[in-house]
Amino acid sequence: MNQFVNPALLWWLIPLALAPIIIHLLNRRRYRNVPWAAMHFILAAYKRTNRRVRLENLILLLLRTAIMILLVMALARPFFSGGSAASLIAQETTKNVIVGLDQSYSMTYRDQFSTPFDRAKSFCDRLIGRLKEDRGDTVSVVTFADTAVTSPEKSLLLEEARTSVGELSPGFGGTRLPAALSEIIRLLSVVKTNPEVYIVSDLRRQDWLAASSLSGKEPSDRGAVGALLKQISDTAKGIHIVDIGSDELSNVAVVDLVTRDSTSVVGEETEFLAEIVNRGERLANFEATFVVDGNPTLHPAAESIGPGESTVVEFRHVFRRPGPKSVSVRIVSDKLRADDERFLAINILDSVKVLVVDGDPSGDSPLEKETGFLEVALSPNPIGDEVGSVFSVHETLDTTFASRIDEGLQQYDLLVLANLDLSRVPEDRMAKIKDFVRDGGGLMMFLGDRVDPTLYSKRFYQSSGEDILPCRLVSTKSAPSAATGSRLDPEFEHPIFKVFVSQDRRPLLTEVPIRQYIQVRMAPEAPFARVIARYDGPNGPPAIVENRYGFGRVMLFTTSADGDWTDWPILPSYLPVIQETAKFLTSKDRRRKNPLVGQPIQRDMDAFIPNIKIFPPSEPGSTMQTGTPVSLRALAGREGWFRASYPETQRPGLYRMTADTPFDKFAPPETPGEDIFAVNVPDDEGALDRVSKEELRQAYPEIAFHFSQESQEQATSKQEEGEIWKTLIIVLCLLLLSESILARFFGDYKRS
Amino acid sequence: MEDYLKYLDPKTLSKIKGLDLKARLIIEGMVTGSHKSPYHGFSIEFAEHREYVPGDDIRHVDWKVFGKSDRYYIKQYEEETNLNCTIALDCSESMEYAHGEVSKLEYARYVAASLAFLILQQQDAVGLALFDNELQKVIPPSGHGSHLKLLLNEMSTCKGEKKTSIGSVLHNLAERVTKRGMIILISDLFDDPRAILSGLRHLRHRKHDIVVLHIVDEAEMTFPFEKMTKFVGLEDQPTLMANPRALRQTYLEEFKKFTHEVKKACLSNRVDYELIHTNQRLDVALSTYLASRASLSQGSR
Repeated sequence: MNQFVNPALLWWLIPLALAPIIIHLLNRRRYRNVPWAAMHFILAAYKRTNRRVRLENLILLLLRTAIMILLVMALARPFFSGGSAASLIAQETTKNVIVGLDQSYSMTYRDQFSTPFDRAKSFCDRLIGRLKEDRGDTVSVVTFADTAVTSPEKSLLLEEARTSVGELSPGFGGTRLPAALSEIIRLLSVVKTNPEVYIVSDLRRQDWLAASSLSGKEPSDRGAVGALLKQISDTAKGIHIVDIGSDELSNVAVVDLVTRDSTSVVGEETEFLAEIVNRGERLANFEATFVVDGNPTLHPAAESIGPGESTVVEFRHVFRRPGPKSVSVRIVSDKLRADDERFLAINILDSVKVLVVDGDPSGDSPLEKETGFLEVALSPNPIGDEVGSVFSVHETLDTTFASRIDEGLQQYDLLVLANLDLSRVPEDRMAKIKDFVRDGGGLMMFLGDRVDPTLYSKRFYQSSGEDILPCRLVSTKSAPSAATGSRLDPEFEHPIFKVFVSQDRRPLLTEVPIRQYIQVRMAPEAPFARVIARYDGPNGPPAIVENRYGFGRVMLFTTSADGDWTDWPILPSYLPVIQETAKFLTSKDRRRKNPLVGQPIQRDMDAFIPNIKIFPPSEPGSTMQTGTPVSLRALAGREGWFRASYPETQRPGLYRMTADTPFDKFAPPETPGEDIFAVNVPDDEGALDRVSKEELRQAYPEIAFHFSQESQEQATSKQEEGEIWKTLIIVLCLLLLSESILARFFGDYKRS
Repeated sequence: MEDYLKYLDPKTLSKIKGLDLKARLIIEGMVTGSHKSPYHGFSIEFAEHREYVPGDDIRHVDWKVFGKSDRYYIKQYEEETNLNCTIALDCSESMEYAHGEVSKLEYARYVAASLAFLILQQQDAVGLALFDNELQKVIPPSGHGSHLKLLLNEMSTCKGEKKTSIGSVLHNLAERVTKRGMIILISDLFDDPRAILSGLRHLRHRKHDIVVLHIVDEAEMTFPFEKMTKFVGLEDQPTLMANPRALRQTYLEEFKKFTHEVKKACLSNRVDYELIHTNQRLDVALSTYLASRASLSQGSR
């Protein structure tokens, strides 16, 4: 037996144990004198019964003493900690306890008793309560979700540690177990003697057994977790796993909210898609409510989803004004509230601004120049009339391109380089082009006779694949047959070819004759590169190559934009491919505006903007909103650029960033700067499937797990792990019963 | 008349002064309670005639018969001999024990007094022997009415102070009471049963009829104590601190064994035995005597 919950009560042990003996002795002192004639019989009776009566009295006395001792013990609540003989021996040695406390939002699942986090806290409270300051015990608490934070670290002030644990509240992050384990290993290197490691967790399957990496997190594969666990287990002689999870499972979650089209323009219908997953074990009904810029719209149909299934709910909205907008979708809250709502921040554009750089502006007719067909394809209305078109095309020549770059490319959404002689663009402007793409701009590149493959490769290509082009331009190549040309072999599932995916339309693409093109060689390692069309069959040279660079996308067409090298511009498939490519390239990477909980909000600006404030989502119950000032810091390597960064995104919701002046140089000067960011919880944290003890033991056979369960009932009744007071009470009741039976038996026996 | 019945209750009697009055009240109460007078049938009942022989008392000559037949005939009665009865009363210290209001000695006095009264009423002779560890006083039987006063006086003045030694006392008594008669032993018999038995046998040997009235206190029969008690032994017996509840069963066994032994011994020696406790009505004791007396008279016929 290690310790007592109420050791002070043990002072009563001896007085109460002595009580029956004292009562017995006092009773012997209280007697009355009776003169008695028939003494002869009494003496005979006494002689006969004396031994038996003494034995009976002794039995009763022992029983009563045992009852008192048990009563005191039960009230003092002894417990076995660790439960092993080793812990019994180690009773008086200093303990250094390290607790890993899961703070992810799955811990807020409210079952009928409490939340796992409440139970985790009460466990920690009692665990610290068992430690002794005078023995030099220390406690370190590692709270972990996306990151692992240790507070307090190796604290000797146990009461303070208890208080700080009591003040903890669950977060909205996802579980990143490797981070927590690494932190515990770090602590183990500080704590040398008698470390005891407790991990208090709801034991979600994907944290402990997931083989695949989680979105936006480091790989949490079994091997890495296993290695870390092994290290801890070896150092601390085992790991105490405290399971505080709930056995019931019912959770409907909104896991995604996106727009169907990646670019949203004023006046055009924007279609939102919300993916809703039933992660419970039973059929669930839900009602989805869409909130656009603060105005809720109940989705008309309440739907039901089967267990493990997901469904997509659609919602359409036409934005009348451009600018940053917010959309959220929420379902009726269930037991896990954190994933019942999802937010989306998007930018509604007036139009998609395209800067077309014409590298070969020869010819008089608009269609004769290099970009003539291209411009028509982007803006098919009568030239000059841009009404109703998504794209507003701005044209420049190779000679004036440098000055356009200097004006600032960030006002455009898409840059098209058509047969550009790069030698006419000063080399120092290349960095700005790359910045433009990296910040999220689209780049469409056509080649032609003015393109110097070597120069292009030099400026836009690195063999590591980390540049705008994922391939090296080699040389101009003509089709084997000049009459028929080379034929495209596209990957029809790519978004830019989606119009031609049906079999009857495919010939419109596959019959396109390409007479000449520049052969390219793909970089050995280019993780984001993809060849989406080849010449003459699936193993032919690349025709169209897609790449991602920073937040932007690049599409390289290895042939010309005009009719010099191909007849494509006059064929019907040209216009839709150009349109779709332009849309595809201008689709903004929304991660920047839609970070996950714990990831910082960042916005880059091309000028110093004073007085920037962030308005985090309002706390429930608070009406006042005060902005938090955000400081700007200069961006390294980009002159004149600044970055506003706000890391305190612990709560999901919409974060509004405002300033007195516009954030961008090209915005109308009188409008105040405003941007919206949507912070969401990681979608997979709501998957509550749990891993069992046996599975953990099987998965990590070399690790000494000590399991203890902090079940729901136990948490409410404050049942201590390893406590034996219930057993004591049962024994006490048995003793009381036997005492009264024996006393009655002895008494009746005498009376009869 | 009904009021007399209450005098059979020892508690009521204890409030009345004067042993003679008590005895009278007991007897009156008892007589009132029975339908048949105990006076009938003794010494006055005609049995038969016989021819007069010289020396007969002429007072018994039936003159009516002489007138008819001119012969002298004598009237003969059923009982013509007096009963010599000796009441042996135990005056030892143990008899002084009283759990309730009436001590065993007191109760024994009532019994003895009422018996004496009754016997004298029946024209028999009654004597008294007071004893503890030895015979303290022996008053020979006499049938005179005035004799009662003497007996009652002796009874009421005796005090229980000494130990009992019934066996030797009975032997002594057997030697002292030479004339054959009835011995009524009133005692708690707290002595060695074998000694008692030997004394009784001696008396039987002398052809005495014996009635043993075993007086015990009710507490001695039931042992009603509950709490821790220090029993202080009378008659120089030791003191014992004990829990009565623990002892009760064995005590009662011992007590029963003793009374059973005594009773068995009495019956085997044709001694009338009656166990009487001090809360019982007094007519029980008297009825025992009367029953014994009746069987005696029938036996002598």
